Amino acid sequence: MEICRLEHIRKTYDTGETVEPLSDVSLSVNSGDFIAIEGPSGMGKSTLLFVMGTLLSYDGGTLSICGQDVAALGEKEKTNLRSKTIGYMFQDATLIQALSVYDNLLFAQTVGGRLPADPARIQELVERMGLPERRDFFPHQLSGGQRRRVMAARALIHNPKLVLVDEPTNDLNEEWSQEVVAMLNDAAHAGAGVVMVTHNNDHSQSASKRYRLERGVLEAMA
Amino acid sequence: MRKLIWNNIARRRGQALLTIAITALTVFAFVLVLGIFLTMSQGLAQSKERLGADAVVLPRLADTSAYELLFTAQPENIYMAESVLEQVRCIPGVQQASPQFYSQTLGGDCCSVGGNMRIVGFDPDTDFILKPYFSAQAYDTLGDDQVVFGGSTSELMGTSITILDEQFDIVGTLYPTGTGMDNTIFMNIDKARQITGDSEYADFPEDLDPFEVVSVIMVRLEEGADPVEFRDAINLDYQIPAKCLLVGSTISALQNQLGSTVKVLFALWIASLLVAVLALLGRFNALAKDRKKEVGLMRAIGIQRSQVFASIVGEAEVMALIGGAVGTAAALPCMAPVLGAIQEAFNLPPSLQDVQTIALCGAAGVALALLLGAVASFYPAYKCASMDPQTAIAQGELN
Ligand SMILES: Nc1ncnc2c1ncn2[C@@H]1O[C@H](COP(=O)(O)OP(=O)(O)O)[C@@H](O)[C@H]1O
Ligand SMILES: [Mg+2]
Repeated sequence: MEICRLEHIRKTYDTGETVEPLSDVSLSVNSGDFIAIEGPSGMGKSTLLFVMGTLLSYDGGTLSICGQDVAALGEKEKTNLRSKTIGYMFQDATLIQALSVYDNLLFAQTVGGRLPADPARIQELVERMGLPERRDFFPHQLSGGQRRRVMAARALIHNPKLVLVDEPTNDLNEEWSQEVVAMLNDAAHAGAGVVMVTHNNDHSQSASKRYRLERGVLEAMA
Repeated sequence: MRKLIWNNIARRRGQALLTIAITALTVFAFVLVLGIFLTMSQGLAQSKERLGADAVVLPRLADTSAYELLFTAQPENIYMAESVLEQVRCIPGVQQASPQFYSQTLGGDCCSVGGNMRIVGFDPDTDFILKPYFSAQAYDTLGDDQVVFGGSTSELMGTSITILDEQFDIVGTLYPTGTGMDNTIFMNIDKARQITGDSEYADFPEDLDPFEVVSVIMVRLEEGADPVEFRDAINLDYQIPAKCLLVGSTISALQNQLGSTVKVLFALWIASLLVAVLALLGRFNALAKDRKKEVGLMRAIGIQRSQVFASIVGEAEVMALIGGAVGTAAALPCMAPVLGAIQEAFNLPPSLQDVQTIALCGAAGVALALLLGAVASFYPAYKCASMDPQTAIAQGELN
């Protein structure tokens, strides 16, 4: 089943001088896919994920998610779509500072009526990410790597159909990097479409499809 | 969401306290000024209304200000011929004219009630001054051994007191009016005259017969009659050994005096309000900026713009509400002493603070706080909520 489809997507930033990180990007994400996108930094990988996540408008082409044309959706509908279908992990560490690890996950699990509160599911992810002793800590009391693991748990907490992760292994040692990648792989096996951006090709080995973003175009790798 | 709002406040306790303090101080000043103004102007308006008389006629040579006459319980040993009453009644525009006879003032030891009580004789047939203020009335025709008590509780009803060796039954009580009436024992005018004649009341002029004089005449004018014309009719007619004071202008003068005082206080308060609004605007702006990245994240995981807006305004309003409650709670008990000091300084009649006014001030204080919170947080919250999620995430500072 196709979850997300990009056709000839173009995105430019215009801040005095025009930058065009995405010139002509086409991609199809299906249920069960674990897609890795590689490429040097500054190439537009994060931009691509923002566009796919309906967080950033695009200047050309078509984007559809679960068969819906994103261009036809209003702000409210896009917000609902994000709430129901998409799980994010941003490149920068972002957690809600005023909430504990547990409450951050609970918030993400139940926001906008996503799902009923399910403490067992939260506990399961907290344990998988090695944070059971930290579940009542606040973000500023965690190390960078611990925060990254909370973010990974948060991206998956509501069993989203489309998982968009940006450099998920930043701040993580090899052991935890592998664990996070394995968890994303499991999500794909469970039926999600996972898109992972990384500049580390070791971690993209386990992906089912690998692409490279360069000069605004996405190219499949062998 | 409620937890988020609360935690956000608690997490930045120092900053929140500052915000609360700004609100509390502004509300404190507001409630104080408002309460004082309301109580005083109410007191004056009530006096005007309750006095019921448009004019007071008193002996031409009396050395008495209308103010003293109306608001204090000082003994005024002033007398004029009773014939003035007929002369006054003949002036066009007079609807009702009722005489009063001031007898002596009794010291605190005279009777069971304590405090100085003035004895006033009035004419129940023509009276319109006492009439509207009976809290209890148990007589049809006031007997000579019966009195009406001003400004006291109705518990006194049915008891009797001894005045100058004579026993009187209390058959009527009046509501407090904040005027000299509150410290007055009213009895039939002829009884009061008799008491004065019988006792060796030193202040009553020896050459006068109490039964031929009155102290003052309370006058109510007909609807549409010009009070100034009435006053001039008496004051410019030297056949009448009396002068006339207009109640309305006396109280209006006091109201003006009060009005200008309050205007100054209010102007000062407006200045402080502006400073407070600017300070709060700055605080909430900083709060919204701090929260940029987080807002981007929340929008990304499916929080609507309206909810982001509500959460920031909500946070502001919680702090404003706390500040408002603190400010109001601090201001209410300060009102009475400040009021007392001002009234003493301006020589104004004491006014009674009623529960309604206090409740009104409290509600106004809290409402002001909420308004402050709303005014200062709407724009920052709107800006924050309408940000593009990607921009918010990319621009927001990590903290
Ligand atoms: N908001 C923005 N405004 C202008 N240019 C931007 C903005 N965000 C990113 N860019 C530019 O777009 C290009 C791609 O950025 P990004 O998608 O973050 O790359 P990557 O994630 O591959 O490192 C970069 O050259 C960057 O400078
Ligand atoms: Mg990037």
